[in-house]
Amino acid sequence: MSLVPLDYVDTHRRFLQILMRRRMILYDEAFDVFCKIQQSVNEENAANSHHREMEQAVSLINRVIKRFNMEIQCAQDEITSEKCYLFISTVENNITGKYTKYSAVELEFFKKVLFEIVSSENGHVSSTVCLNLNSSLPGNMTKSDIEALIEKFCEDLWLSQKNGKVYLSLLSIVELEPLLTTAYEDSVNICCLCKHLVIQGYRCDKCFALLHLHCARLYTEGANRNTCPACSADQPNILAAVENTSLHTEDDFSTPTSHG
Amino acid sequence: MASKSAQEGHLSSQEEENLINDTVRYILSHDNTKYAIKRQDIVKDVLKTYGGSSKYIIDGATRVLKEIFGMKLVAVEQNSNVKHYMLINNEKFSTDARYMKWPKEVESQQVLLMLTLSLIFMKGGVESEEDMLSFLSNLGIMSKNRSHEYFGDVWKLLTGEFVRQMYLEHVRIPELDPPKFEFRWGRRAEEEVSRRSLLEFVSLVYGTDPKNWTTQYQEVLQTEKNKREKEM
Repeated sequence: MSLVPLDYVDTHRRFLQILMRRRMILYDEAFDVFCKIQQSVNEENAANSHHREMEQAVSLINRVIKRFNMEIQCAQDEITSEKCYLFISTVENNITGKYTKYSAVELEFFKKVLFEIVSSENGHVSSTVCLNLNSSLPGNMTKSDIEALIEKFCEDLWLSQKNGKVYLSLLSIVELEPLLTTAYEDSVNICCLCKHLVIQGYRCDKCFALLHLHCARLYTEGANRNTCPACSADQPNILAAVENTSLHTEDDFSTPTSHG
Repeated sequence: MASKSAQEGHLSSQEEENLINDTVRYILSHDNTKYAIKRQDIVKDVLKTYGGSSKYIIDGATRVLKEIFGMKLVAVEQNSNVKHYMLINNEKFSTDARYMKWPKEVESQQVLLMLTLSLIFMKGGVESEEDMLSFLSNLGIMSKNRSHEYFGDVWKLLTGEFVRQMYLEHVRIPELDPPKFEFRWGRRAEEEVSRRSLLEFVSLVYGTDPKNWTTQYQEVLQTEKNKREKEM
């Protein structure tokens, strides 16, 4: 009995290995890598690959790795709107899971940062606030221990920091969505357009609904309207807020956030 | 799935698959260090009361890692009581490493490792400590008491980390007093590193044709032949 379908070949294995190692990769870069792999497998027949071939390869890989609760998902960054592939562990095998490489205290810190970000107004938390979390943690962690720990989480792609602010990475948002929406049910925002977790986006000044910029762009652009999709209140600023968001209108583009 | 031994009789095929999947995830989650994994740790952390089925489960995991992930799990016996497993990347995929983005220190280690393995290979498979030292000092990579700003503590890597990852063997030359040590390729290097690409690299540096290094070129052909036969 074979473990994989017949059309699952070395191209899939190699692409899987790379995505598994990178965990978060821009869609365009992934496509570049995919083309190089195909060229090296298939030298005499090196016709240009199409995006669709990569997406088919990804969906075949997904069928094969489902048994490990792993999945490659496509999602758009909340701020830059760049499309990315993410290598996700679903269920218990994520950062908090059984085989985590983090210590209990480190995870405790991470959870506190998660809470700070999720319950904040604008989806990030200042580094100073993070550094001060040391007093609420067991063990005698100094501020420089915390600084190093933030670095480590950034290196591992769970967090990112810029200009003294700490953000959740796209990888965290997508991978931890089930965990966050259950644990912080009252503080998380769900984008009413794609029904997925949103941490940073456009906020309606009437009903305070939070929308992904790329979702809001699709919504406003399509019908040339500037109303809030949740409460229909006029939002004169919404068009300006989303106009720099890329729209991804290529034929092979599925949905803005095809995760879930 | 025919060769099921009696002791696994109590495992349903679903339980069996779950244990295999868990073992695979466990092994993959340890891959970043490249250290060998103890069989006992797999039993302690994953299989627990099903330790008696470990051979069967690990065989299943080996197959999964090969067919799905394109990786090879090999058993390394360090002594008769302690069994270790090592997850190895396919030599054929080694060029993919360039797309994988490693942390800076890993990148510099890989350069150092390739230099070291090239030297040992060009010297016929074994290199004494003294010659290794002078090679690295001549390249300016290593100086006696100072750690290199790019490569770090080179000697510690060579005799510690690389040995633990099984890229290098650092062994005592028998019957020498005072004792002396030498370096050889480790088990992981044998599996993961292509002699051909090392020879091509060296030839590029010297501006020669790989075939001009007659001995080394013969060894390239021989190891490639052996590997093909082993795969059959």
